[in-house]
Amino acid sequence: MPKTIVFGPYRPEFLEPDVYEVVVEGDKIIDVKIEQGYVHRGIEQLAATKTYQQALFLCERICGLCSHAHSCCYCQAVEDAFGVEPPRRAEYIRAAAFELERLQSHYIWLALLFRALHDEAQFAKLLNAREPLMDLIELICGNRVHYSVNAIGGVRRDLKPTVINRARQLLDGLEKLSMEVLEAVKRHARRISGIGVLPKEKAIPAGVVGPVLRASGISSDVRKDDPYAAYDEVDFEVKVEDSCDVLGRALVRVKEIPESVSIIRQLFDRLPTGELRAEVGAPREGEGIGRVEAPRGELIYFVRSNGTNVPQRVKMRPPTYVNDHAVVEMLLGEKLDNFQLVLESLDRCLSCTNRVSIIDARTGSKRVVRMDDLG
Amino acid sequence: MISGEDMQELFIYRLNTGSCNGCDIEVVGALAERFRLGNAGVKVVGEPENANVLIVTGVVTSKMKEHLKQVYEKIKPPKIVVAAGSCALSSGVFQGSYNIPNLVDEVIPVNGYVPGCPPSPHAIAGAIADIARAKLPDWHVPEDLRGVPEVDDEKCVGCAACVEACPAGAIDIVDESDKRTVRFSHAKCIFCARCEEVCPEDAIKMATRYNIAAKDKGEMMDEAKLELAKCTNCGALFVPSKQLQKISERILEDIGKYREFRGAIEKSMGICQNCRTLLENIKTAKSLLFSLNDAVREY
Repeated sequence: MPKTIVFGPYRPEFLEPDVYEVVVEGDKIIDVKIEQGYVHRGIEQLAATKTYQQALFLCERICGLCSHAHSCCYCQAVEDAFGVEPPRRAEYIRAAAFELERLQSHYIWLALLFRALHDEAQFAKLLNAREPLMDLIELICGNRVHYSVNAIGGVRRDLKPTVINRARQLLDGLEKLSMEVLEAVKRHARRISGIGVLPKEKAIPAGVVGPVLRASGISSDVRKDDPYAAYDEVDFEVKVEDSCDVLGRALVRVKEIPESVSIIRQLFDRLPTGELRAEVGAPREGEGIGRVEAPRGELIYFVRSNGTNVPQRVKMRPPTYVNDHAVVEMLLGEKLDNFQLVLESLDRCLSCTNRVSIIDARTGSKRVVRMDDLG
Repeated sequence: MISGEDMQELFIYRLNTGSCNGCDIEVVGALAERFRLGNAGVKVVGEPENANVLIVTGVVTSKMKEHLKQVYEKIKPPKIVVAAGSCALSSGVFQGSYNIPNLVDEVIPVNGYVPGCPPSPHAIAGAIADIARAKLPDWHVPEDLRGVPEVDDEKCVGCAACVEACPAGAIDIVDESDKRTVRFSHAKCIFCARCEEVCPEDAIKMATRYNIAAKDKGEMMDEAKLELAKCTNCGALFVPSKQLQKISERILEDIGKYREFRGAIEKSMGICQNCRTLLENIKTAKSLLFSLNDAVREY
């Protein structure tokens, strides 16, 4: 007799509220239903009531882990609509902040993975190791989470030489730490290999992005495929794993840490001098699109301007929106014990995603994602 | 003091009711080793039934409102509730959203507030230590920290550039009798420093301190008080005298060569917007413009 177990909306393992109805037979998962909308804040509607400048800070506050990705992507979309080209130095500072964000996001993800593996020692170690990185971000941006570095047409804050020196020292330590983390992940390899499998041929129709897609053997990275900010002037490798499981997703992220460190070093070495902000001028009619590789995958912004100082429409497609649904595919036939690990492997960011399920939250009706819906 | 209770041990439960997860990360950060809360008898628990302190982060979305009530019921006495972050205090930048029916303190009683977007772990750890009556070390604060906005009474002219720019509507202007007050609500502030950026008088600075938690939300503010000027024509109060003075200075700086109009310009500046549309003034203004025009031509 199958029984249904409801996870959520609040659980100690969940950073954010969400509901998963898991149907099990014995200890095998036979169906998963996802219910979202617990953190829906109506951001797209709010964005159409604020000026372009104000909406920047609204978009930045969509997510605490990829706040720079959101604000950067929004700025790119607005710059595209108004035909503004940010100065080169600004592009470098944007990219550097982007990689610092990726580092802290990957570190907290790894910490949460170790907690799901009941490895409290590694969890505490990574949380403590993340603190100096957060302090560095605070030193550069004035805040640890919402950087507020971006402005339409450039950046608001400059990189001071003293800060760059401090950052370089810290980066050496982070690179060393990533080797230790890699070893720690490998120690858990048996536990996480072969679970939550999303084969290549299923990853493409499921539409997953970011590290989840790269762990299914597909090399896809906006930084490489469609370079923005200063990514066209740095060398780095797109890390790909073909095991298609939780281990693969962990390895992709661990291996991306030294790549990010190397990108930041290159950006510091080549940091051009010059202006921080370009003149934006009066708003004009038009549409713009921004596309970035957030820590969780491809993030897209669309902005339509009707010539006033308030955007007519701001639309966003965050990475977790497409990744979250793929969890159904990953969990079917899986043991219930592996539920939390598989869920964790997605690095879900619900504050971004729940913004999309407008209709559900308004009517209070359930949004249920089933296998049939996924095709 | 956030709590009047004497508590030996603190069992903390964190509830996200619609946050961007920034505050959640910082709550987790506050429990890192360096803040030494473990030594003060602070533990994090996974079930609300085992907790006596509840930390709420985020706006209260329609779907989470009932859950917030349920969780609060389960918390053990003395049921200390701390609202952390601008969203939990005032909905912050999300104010006015159709899916945010209430603030946290409209749903459950709140004992302490930690402003910030998100509050730094130093501020959160400080609030927790305050409940536990523990003493934490003093922290070195970076000089460029974006803390609460503080306004310099001497420099502020009450022009309202910051009011227009603020994404969260945290700054407002109240005119009462002959005084104008520019009020900065730290509970609504999202710490983006946009006001600091747009202030033409350089009167706003983001304070560089961590300890900004308080028991009363109303206390969390800073303000500048300014004298309003009387219209020289009808006697009604209209803009702060300091603003008039500053604008006159700027205009006079710019006109440089046409000093002979100084008196006329200063005079017209002191007339309120209602009187300016009066026929008499239009005549005067016209003749002023004509003579300016002639002067420019001669030049």
